[in-house]
Amino acid sequence: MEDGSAKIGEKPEPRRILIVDDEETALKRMQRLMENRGYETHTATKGKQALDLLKALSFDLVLTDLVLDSIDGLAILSYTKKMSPDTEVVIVTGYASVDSAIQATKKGAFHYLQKPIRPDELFHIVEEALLKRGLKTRVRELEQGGQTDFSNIIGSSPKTQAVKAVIERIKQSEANVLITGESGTGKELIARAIHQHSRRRSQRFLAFNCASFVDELLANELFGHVRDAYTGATKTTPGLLESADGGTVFFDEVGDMSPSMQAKILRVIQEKELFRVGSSTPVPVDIRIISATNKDLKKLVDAGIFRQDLYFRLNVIALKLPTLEQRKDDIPQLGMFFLKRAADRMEKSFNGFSEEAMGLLMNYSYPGNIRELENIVERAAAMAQGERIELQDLPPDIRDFETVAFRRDKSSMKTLSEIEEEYIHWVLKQTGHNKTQAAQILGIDRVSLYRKLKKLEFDE
Amino acid sequence: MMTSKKKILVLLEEGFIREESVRYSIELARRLELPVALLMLVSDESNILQAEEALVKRLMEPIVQARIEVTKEVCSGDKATELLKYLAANSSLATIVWGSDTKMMGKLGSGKPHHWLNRLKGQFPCSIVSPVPREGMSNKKITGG
Repeated sequence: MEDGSAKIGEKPEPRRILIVDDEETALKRMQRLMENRGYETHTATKGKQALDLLKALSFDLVLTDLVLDSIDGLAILSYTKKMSPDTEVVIVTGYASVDSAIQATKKGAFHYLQKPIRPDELFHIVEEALLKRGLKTRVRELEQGGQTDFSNIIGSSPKTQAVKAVIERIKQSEANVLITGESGTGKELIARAIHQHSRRRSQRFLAFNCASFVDELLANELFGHVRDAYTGATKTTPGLLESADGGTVFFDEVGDMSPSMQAKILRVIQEKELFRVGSSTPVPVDIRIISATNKDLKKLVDAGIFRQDLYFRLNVIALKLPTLEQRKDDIPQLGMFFLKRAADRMEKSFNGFSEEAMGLLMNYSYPGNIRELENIVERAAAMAQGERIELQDLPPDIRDFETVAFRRDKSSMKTLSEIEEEYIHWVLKQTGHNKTQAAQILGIDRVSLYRKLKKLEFDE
Repeated sequence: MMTSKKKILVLLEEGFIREESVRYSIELARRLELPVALLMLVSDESNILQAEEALVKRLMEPIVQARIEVTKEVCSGDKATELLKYLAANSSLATIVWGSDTKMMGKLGSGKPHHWLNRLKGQFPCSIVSPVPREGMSNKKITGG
């Protein structure tokens, strides 16, 4: 999915490597070796920390120890291949065994390296892995012949095609995007796809859940801090927004952002700069914001919970994702995709679903959307005795109950032109109906503004 | 203060409770790895309130036994108003499981037109799902009050 190659005339981006090892000394040694070769490195001493980094950033290569905590090197390998199939993974271990080496290779590891590591051997393997990574990307580019790759977005129903068409249409745009949709509809996946098809794709994609942090922690994480900003701040540390400079930041559950954080983010968008905690020196930052929510943000604006000015800044391009029930035609394809993935992980072999099992899956309401389907298929794959998913492999509640679902009335959602009209009204009001100033803020010329006003039949 | 942790709301109305809604919510909570909240709406502060409290407590038991985080609340008054108040204070609902009379569900509009839930059409922050036993399955209902 990711384009790792630099264009002619551009300075090549340093290759990004994630190093995972629970032994600090070994970790630091490997980091030093890689950084001396000009690679950008990120490190993790725990499996969970590694998964978080893989979720937030794109890597060209992962060097991971095999034996870690509950999330081991093989789990990191599986997750890497799931998130970014082109990223190469090298497993490093002091407990080499034929079985684990075979398992790692089966799961798609590039190489299996035994400790103690010889630097020359490590460099050779890293260079080969990165070469393979670059070739894969190039081959994909040539195969696509300039077409956008949507291999991560499963399905071909009209609703899914419409989402893909929006991503295609906005790939040259730098505008902020607001993705709405029920829980489990794949908002982060779509945000990643928008980033990966944008001009910012060689830079970072950073995902952040606004509901997971208290305000102080959120400010520290996002904006960083200067030395002595608070007790324990022993050195100046840049925040995540700075580290995403040039890239895309994804704010999930943006409706849960506190008023003070809303004000800070608005400033970043308007002024393109931020202040680290404890500092009054602005730091320039260039980020594109994709935000997502399953709430009705406009209602939160009306209730005074969410800032209207921030809402308009975030909602430049609105993308509403369909529920799984609205794209039922995709269920067989999605089901097969999740089944294949579960089979790979469980080292089982399946050839599909029985007619009855698929019939039941097609008729279920999925209040949890794609995430729920994924869970149902994984459970069925674990339960199945044969090579086909049968009715009895599905959860008992789905077999025993019919579900009737009611979803929010479509008419309660605004159309793009309604939002545009509201925004033009608002800007005009803010500028005291000064059309020159309003046109400047809207990023259009005066003639275009007059044309829009005429079309909207505003009172002159 | 709004709470942001997502959960599954099992919405119940006095007088007609379907146990399958609890069974379904347990499975759904397992699949989505979410906690469950039981909300019983009672029309007024009559003497049935205590009985409804006891009923909700009993409905909680299988959820607790399934080791799923669960909370309960019984609200009395105008049901539509009480539900709107609850939704305002608990904005992060993943889904609502309707556990009472299914006749009004249909498409929430094609059912009982005057049911209070129909008046709230368009106000829900998430989907509402109503599990109904397939033909041949037993349909356990509890009449409260």
